[in-house]
Amino acid sequence: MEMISALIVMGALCLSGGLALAWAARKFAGNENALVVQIEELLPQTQCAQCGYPGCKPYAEAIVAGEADINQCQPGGERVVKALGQLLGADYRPPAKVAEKPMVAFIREAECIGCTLCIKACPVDCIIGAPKQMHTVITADCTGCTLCIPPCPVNCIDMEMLPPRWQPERP
Amino acid sequence: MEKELKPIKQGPAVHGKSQLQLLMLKVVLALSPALIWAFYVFGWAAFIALMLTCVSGFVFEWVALRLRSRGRTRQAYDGSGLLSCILLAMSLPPMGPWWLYVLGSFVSIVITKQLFGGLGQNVFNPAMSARVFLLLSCPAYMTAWLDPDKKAGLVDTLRYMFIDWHRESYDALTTATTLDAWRNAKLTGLPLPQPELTDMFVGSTAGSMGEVSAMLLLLGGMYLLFSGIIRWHLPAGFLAGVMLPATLFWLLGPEGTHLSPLVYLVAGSTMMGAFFIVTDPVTAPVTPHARFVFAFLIGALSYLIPAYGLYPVGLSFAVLLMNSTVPLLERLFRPRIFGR
Amino acid sequence: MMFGLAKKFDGGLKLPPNKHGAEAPSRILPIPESLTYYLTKNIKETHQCIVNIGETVLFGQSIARGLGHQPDIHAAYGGVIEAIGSKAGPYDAPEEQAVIIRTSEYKNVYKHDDKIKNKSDLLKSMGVAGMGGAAFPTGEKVQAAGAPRVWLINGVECEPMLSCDQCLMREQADKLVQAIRYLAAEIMPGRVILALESDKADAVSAMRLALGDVTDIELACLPPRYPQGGEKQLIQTLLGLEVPSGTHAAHLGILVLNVATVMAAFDALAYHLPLTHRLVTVAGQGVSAPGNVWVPIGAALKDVLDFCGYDGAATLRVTVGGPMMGRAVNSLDVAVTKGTSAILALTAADELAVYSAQPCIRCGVCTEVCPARLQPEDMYFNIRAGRLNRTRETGLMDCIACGACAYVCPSEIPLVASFLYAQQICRIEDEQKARAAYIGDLVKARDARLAARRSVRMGKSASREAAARTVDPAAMEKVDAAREKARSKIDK
Ligand code: SF4
Ligand code: SF4
Ligand code: SF4
Ligand code: SF4
Ligand code: SF4
Repeated sequence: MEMISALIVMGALCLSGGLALAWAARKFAGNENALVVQIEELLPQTQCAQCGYPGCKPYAEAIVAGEADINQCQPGGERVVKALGQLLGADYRPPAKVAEKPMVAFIREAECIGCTLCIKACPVDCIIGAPKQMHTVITADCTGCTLCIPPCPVNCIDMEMLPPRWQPERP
Repeated sequence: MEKELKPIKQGPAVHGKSQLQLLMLKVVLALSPALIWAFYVFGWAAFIALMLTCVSGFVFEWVALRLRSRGRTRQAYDGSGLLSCILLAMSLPPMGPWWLYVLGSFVSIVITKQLFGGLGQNVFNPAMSARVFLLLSCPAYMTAWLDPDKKAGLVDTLRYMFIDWHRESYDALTTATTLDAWRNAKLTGLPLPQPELTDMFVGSTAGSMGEVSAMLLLLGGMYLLFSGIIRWHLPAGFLAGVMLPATLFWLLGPEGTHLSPLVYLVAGSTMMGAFFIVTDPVTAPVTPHARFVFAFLIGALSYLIPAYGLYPVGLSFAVLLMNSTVPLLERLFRPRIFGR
Repeated sequence: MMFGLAKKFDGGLKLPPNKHGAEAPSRILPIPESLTYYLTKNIKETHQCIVNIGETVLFGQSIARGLGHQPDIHAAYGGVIEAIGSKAGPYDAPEEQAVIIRTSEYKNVYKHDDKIKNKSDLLKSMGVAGMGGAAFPTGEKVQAAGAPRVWLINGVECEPMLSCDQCLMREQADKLVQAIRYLAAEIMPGRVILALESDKADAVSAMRLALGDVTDIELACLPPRYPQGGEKQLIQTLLGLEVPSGTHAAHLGILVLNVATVMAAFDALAYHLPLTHRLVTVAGQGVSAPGNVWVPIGAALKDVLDFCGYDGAATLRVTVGGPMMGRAVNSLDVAVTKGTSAILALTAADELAVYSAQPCIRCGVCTEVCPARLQPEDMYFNIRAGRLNRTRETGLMDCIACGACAYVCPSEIPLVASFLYAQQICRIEDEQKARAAYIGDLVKARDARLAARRSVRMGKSASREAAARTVDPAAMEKVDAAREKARSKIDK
């Protein structure tokens, strides 16, 4: 008799605990849109499409949808993989491609024919120019995404390396 | 400058005189008057017990460090292991079977200290955890306190410790400590003995090496306090923790059921606890407020456990219990950061 | 005037003063052969050079313009610009960009026009920066404080071995009082307090004498204690206020200037004299004639040390700045900057720190001495475990790098070095985050622009926009070629 009552009590306890957990899982389930925003905040916003998606937001959506891995953002490198891993509870893995040194676009102004095609390609609007005028890049805003290179009909855009950012040594 | 510069770039170029090894040796120095007095009171037994613990402790530590990695063995010389072993020996009975001390130092050095990651990483006080281990596994030997009046010569002592180490053969030589005797009398309803305060304070009663002379321990404690090695928070918290409940129970409890708080104040174990046990830096909290609370609770528990619990000693249990609350205390008593 | 202490600052410790050569009269360094001025700090550009190689400059001529609030740089002696390039620097990065002047006989003094009337602009163009160590731009500081409630003049100099402010107050007390009165009329503070430590008896009595029966400048003699000279600690000691975390003294309406800075600001505002020289303490067992020397900014450490009887064989470490907060240098070609308060040649007799990093025994001494009430051992533990965010929550950015914790640590753990490292990493992270947010804004602005245009053109170009943004393999090849080209350029 005692054993049966113990079984009943324990069973009831387990059941109610399970129900509570199930309810909590529904109630506090993560909001997908919020997650996309959170992930996007961690991405470098270079909009360079090197992750295989046409920008940081599409990449963030792809991660949430489970299509993309967390290590595809190239400019973000190790730092972003770590941050994403922390946010999503995923294990660390090395970035898929090693990030290049920071670069900026540079237009050889003498050769530019002023076709404005590069302006349309630049995701951050950092190329100034008007039709038939020479164009130039605002270096401080350029993210080095290289998207302006393919459209240029005369191939007058170069990528130049920036001096390396100084990094402190670990004591 | 032609010579190689020491490779530092940041941080002070100079350093104060405080050094780990020196610190440990100063604590040993502070313990030494009480130790020497214990040698005098208990004779050869105390000396052999101390040697057994320290030597085996050193060997265990060296081997454990060597097993962890080759370069670590120099850490065996930093003095922290020596200090733990001395504290352990001082809290064990001065005469007991040889394996008692070797087992104790094994638990304290290997299990409590090295298995948790070595110096600075251990959660529990090494000396106290070994003492608790021994008390639970061989209580018979842990309550046989050598009677100072019956101390034996070198040969007899060696025989008692290494060959004839049966509990029965100890019976003739041992007695109960003052506090134990009173407690047993109370439990069994016999007439209560009157503790000799002066004897307890100066140190000529039975007990562990670390309990024998409250006076000399106090002296060592004062040295530590005034040379800045320990701060007042821990000892003061502990003493307050013992004295407050002791006074309250003595005043409020029925006549004759509680010892006078004075007895606790002159007991060697109180002094040992206040100045040498709770002040173990590794297993105590870091911030001053947390330290006071930590020590206060240890003090209160170490009064309450023997008074109302099953075991005659409370200090070691109280220390282990409070050790486990250190992270919590540190979190609760984190100082407010400047300007926040 | 007597001064009641509001409150002692938290933590801190008594250090042996070791002020060798403090009593000796100041000397003047002979004109060095070359002068070096840094244009970068940790490789980040702070100044823009405005002279060319081969150009002749006059004494006091501006040679580099400060970016942002950074004060300009002026030649301390006339000469010819010899080089503009990498040079061993006193900061964390091993090399910095610098302008090097070969000094010559030119005695002519450059005349600055006096069109600038705004005092903070004038301070910037006369190159005045904090001379207590951090070289914070004085113009910016004065501007931020507005008309301060309290103006503290910091002559505390709590670091061991340093005595340049003490020497300055002793030898130029009258000028200092004059400077304070002049500047007080300019910035109109509610209260003026000159603070120094009581163990510098000569400076105290010189200042007492110079102040005479002046009552509007209060003199505060504080019992010596490290790091009392820290801005936040001084404010806490004198006024009982805590500067809120993450802000400056200006937030409380308080202006703190070091005594040498006050003198430089006076010269700049009253006489239009740029900051070109400073008093530097040369000390340590590695020099035979320790003391204070007037040094042109830009002089190499080697020149200054040799002037004071440098013993290269005995010296094990040379630091720029005091023994606690200064930094050890790897080369004696490093030049004196505006913030260089001392050059120390330390030998084995100076109790050098070795940072053997033994296990932390949680002794808590570091917590006790920390003036910012931090828990260094906990922060160190978290940094080692790579938990930078946790470390930030527990006050990493509130650490003033005073070094008290590392000085007392019995396990000789490199606490300060790891805090500075972690702070740098955090700053870089912040910068990256801020930049990402900025770029994000640019993208949003562009999207808004496109949307606006699209609504005008009624969707005609929408498909073209989309085409421009998709990535096709042929285009990627072109990109790769451009990258290749850029990389090969760097390799060359
Ligand atoms: S690679 Fe990174 S920066 Fe580039 S678009 Fe993708 S997520 Fe954004
Ligand atoms: S200029 Fe070119 S490389 Fe720079 S951000 Fe615009 S598209 Fe990218
Ligand atoms: S695409 Fe090339 S040619 Fe056309 S405007 Fe841009 S840089 Fe000039
Ligand atoms: S002073 Fe050193 S050993 Fe002591 S707690 Fe701090 S870091 Fe640990
Ligand atoms: S260096 Fe930082 S952590 Fe250490 S004592 Fe100074 S303020 Fe505190």
